[in-house]
Amino acid sequence: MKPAMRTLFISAILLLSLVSTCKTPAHAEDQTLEYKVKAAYLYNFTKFVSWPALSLPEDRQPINICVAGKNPFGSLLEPLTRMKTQDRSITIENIKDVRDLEKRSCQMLFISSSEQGGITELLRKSAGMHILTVSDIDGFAQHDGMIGFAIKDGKVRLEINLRAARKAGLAISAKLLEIATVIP
Amino acid sequence: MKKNVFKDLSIKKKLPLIVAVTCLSALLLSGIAFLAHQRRDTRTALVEHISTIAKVIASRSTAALVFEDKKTAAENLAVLSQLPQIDEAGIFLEDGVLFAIYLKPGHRAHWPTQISHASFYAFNAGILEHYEPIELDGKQLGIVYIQTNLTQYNQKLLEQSGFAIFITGITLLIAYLISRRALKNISLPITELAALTRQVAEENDYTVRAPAQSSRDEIGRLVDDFNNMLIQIEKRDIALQESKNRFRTLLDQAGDAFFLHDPEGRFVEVNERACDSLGYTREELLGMSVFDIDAEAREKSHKDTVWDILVPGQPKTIYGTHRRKDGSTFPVEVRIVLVEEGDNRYLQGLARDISDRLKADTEKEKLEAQLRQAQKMEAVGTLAGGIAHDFNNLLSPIIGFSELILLERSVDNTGTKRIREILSAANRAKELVKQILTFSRRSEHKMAPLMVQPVIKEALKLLRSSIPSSIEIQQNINPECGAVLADPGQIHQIIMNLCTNAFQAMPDQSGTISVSLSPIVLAQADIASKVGLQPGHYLKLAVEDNGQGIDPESVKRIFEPYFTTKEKGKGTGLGLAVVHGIVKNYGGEINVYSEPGKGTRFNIYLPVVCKETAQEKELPEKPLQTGKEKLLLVDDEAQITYFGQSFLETLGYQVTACNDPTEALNLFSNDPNRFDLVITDMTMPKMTGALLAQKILSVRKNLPIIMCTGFSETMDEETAKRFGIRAFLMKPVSSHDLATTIRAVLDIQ
Repeated sequence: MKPAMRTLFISAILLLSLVSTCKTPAHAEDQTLEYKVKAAYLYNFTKFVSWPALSLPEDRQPINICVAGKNPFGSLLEPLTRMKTQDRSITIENIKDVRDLEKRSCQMLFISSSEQGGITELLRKSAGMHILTVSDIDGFAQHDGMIGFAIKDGKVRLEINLRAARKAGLAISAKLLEIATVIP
Repeated sequence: MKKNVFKDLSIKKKLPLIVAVTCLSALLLSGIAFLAHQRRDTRTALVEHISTIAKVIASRSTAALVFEDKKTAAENLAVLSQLPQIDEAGIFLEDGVLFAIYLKPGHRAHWPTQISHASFYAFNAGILEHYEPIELDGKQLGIVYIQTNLTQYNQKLLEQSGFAIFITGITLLIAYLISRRALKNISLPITELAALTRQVAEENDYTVRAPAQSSRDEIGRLVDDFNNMLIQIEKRDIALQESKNRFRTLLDQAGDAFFLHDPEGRFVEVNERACDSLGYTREELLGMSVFDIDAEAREKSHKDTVWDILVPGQPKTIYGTHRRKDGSTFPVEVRIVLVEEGDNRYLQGLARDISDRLKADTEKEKLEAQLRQAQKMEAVGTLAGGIAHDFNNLLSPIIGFSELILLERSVDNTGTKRIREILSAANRAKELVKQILTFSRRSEHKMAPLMVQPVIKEALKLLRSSIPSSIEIQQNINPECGAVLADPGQIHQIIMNLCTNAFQAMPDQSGTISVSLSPIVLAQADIASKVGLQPGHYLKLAVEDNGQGIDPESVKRIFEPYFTTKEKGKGTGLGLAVVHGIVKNYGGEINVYSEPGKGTRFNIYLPVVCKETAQEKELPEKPLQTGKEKLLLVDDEAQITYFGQSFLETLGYQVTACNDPTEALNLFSNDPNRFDLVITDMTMPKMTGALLAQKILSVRKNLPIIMCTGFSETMDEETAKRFGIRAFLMKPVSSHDLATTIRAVLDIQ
C-alpha cells in the first residue's frame, strides 16, 4: 500500500507543480493520499514547534494554518479544524495575495508550489512575523524555507532549516530535528 | 534440655552468652531489616532507573512514532546497549504491533504475550518487565517495553548479605570479648560469693568472709550484707553452741537421771546421771530401750498406759524399779512428760533413785514413834511429879511427928516399936516419891563429873551378894572411860535396877548377866536413830542377859511408869522408868533390844564431859546437931510449922513459927535483928518464899535463909544461892538434914 501511495504522491506533486521534475505520471488517488499524509504532518508540526508569546498569546487563540497559493489539500485540511493541539483549536485560511499576509495572523504558512515564483517575496514578508514556513517546493529548506517536504525512498521526509526557524524566533523540538534532515 | 544446659551454665559464661545472644539477635534483626530495606531500595532505584530510561526513550520516540521513523526509534532503543543488564527492549504501537526492537547481543527474545498500556513494572522469575506509554499531547502513541535481567542485581544483593553476615560475625565476636572482660566485674564477685556460700554450707564454717568489694553497687552491697549475715549467723551459732553446752552441762549435772525415748521405747537422749545410776555408758544406753532398764515396763502395757494418758506439757509422776547393768534394781520416782517436736513424739523422764528416801521415811516413822513415846513419858512424868509433890507434903508431918515422938521418948517400948514401923513405912514412901521425882526429872541431885567405873563395880559387888550364885555376872569395864556429869547414887541405881530386872528375867535362876562399859564416839550418822543425842564422846553402858526376853508389844511401853510384866507385888513398875528419867536427865539415851526366849540388852549412852576423875564423897553418919539461936520458921501449912517448931525447939533453938509470909515479913520488919536464921517454904499463897527472901535480904543482907521446897520450877540450888539464900532443902525434909543444914549455915557466920 505504501509504495503505491508514494507513487501516487509523487505523481500528484509532478502534476501540480509546474517546475516539477516528476518522471512518474501522476495519479489522482496517490496525490490525495500524499496530501493526507502532509495534512497530518502539518498538524503534528504544531506539537513540536514553539511559537514566541508575541505571535501566539496565551488566550486560547487558535493556531492559524494559512495556505498561500493554490490549495493542494482540497478539503483534506477540514478535519484539522475539529482537532485540538496544545489546547488550542486549529483554523485554516487561504491566502490569495501576498499582501493579505500582513493582514492575517498566521502561525504556520504552507506555500503551495503555485507560488514558486513569489516565494522570495513571501519568505521575506513572513520572516518578521514568527511564521513557520512549510512547503513541498523542491529545495525549499535550502532556500531559507523552514520545513520542506521531500520524498525519499517513497516516504515523505522532512528537511529543516534550523537557522531560518531561529531567525523567526521559533523553537523546533530536537525530537523533530532527530527524524529530519537538518539544513545548516 | 537445651534450656537446662544454658540454666546450669556458670554466670561467668552465662552473662557474656546473654550479651552475645542479645547482640546476635539485634544484629540479625537489623541485618535483615537492612537487607530488606536495601533490597527494596535497590529495587526501587532499579525500577526508577529503568523507568527513567523508559521515559526518556518514550519521550524521545514520540516524533519517531508520529512521523513513522522506525530507524530513529531503533536508534533510541540502541542506547540501552550501555546497560548490560537489559536483555531486550521494544516499542509497540497502540495496536500491539512491534515498531522497533533492541536485543542484547546473544540474547534470544522473549516478547511478552500481553502488553500493558499503562506505566507498569513487574518482577518475574529473575527479570524486571517495564512498560512505559509513549504519549504526545495527551494522546498515547505506543509503549516502550524494557526487560531487565536481575541476575546481576541479585548477585549484588547476595554479596551485600554475605558482607552483612561477615560484619555481624565480627561484631559479635568483639561484643563477646568485650562483654566477657567487662562482665567479669559482675560475674567474678558473684562466682566468688557462690563458692563461699557453698563452702559455708558444706563445712558449716561461719567464720569465713567474702573479700570486700570496692564498688558500692548492688554487688558490693550484696557482699557486705552477706558478710553481715555471716557475722550474725556466727554470733547466733556461738550463742546456740553456748546455750547447748549450758544445757548439756545442766543436763549432765542434774541430780536426776534424764531419759528421752521415742514411742518404741528407744532412747534418744540420756544424761551422765542416767549412765552413772545404771552403770552403762552413754553409747550403750543410746542403743537400748526403756524396756531394758525398767524392770516392770512391758512394751505392750507401757504403750497402752503411759502414752495414752499423757497430755503434752502436763507431767506425771510414776513409781517404778530400774535395773542396773549388774542386774541389781532400785526404786525410782520418774517424772514423765510427753514432748512433741513437730510430728515426733517423745517421752521425757526424770528418774530419781528413792532408795534413801524410802529408808529415811521408815526411819522417820520410827523417830516419830519415839518422839510420841518421849512426849508421853514427859506427860506421865509431869503428872507423877505433881502427885509426888503433894504426897511429900503429906509425908513430912508423918515422918516429923514420928521422929518427934521417938525423940521425946514419951511412949513405951511397944509404942516406940510401932512408931518406928510408921517411920519405916513413911521413909519407904519418901523413897518412892524420890524415885518418882527422879523419873520425872524433878529431883535435885548433885551433878558432878564422875568416873562411873568404881560406882558400877561397887554396885555389882552388892548385887553379887544379893542374887543367887547360879547366875553368872560378867563385867567388862573399860578403865579408860572418861567422866560423865552424874550423881553416883543414880548411877548406882541404874545398875541395880537393870540388873535386878535381868535377874528377874531368869525364872529358873540360871544364866548370865553381862555388864560392859566402853567409850564410844557417835557421829552424826550414828545418832540418826537416837532422839535427843548430839554427836560427840559417849560412854556406852550395856547390860545384857540371856533370860526370857520381852515381847515386842511390851518393848514399846517398857519405860512407862507403872508398866510392869512382873507378878503383882514383885515390882513397882518404876524401875525402868526411873532409869529412863536419869539417863534423859543426863542428856543421854537408853534403848532396848530383846528377843523373846533369847534375852534382852539395854544400851545406855552417856555424854562424856571430861577426863578428870571425881571421887565420890561419903557422908559419915553424925548425931543431930543442936544450937540456941533464934529462928523464924515460915510455911503456909500449920502442920509443918508445928512439927518444925517442936523439933527445932527440942534441939535447943528459939523458934518463931509463922503460917503467913506477909505476917512473917512484918515480924521481921518490926525487929530485923531479932532472928539469926530464916527457914521458909518456897511455894506459898500471897507471897513466894523467893520473894520473901528477897525482901528480907534487902533489909538484912547477911541474914542466913534456908529455902525448903517439894519442887520448884523456878528455884534450884544455884538460883537460891544467887539470891543470897544460903541453903536449899528438899521436902520432905528429914530431921537429920534439917539439923545439919541449920548448923552448917549458922556456923559459916
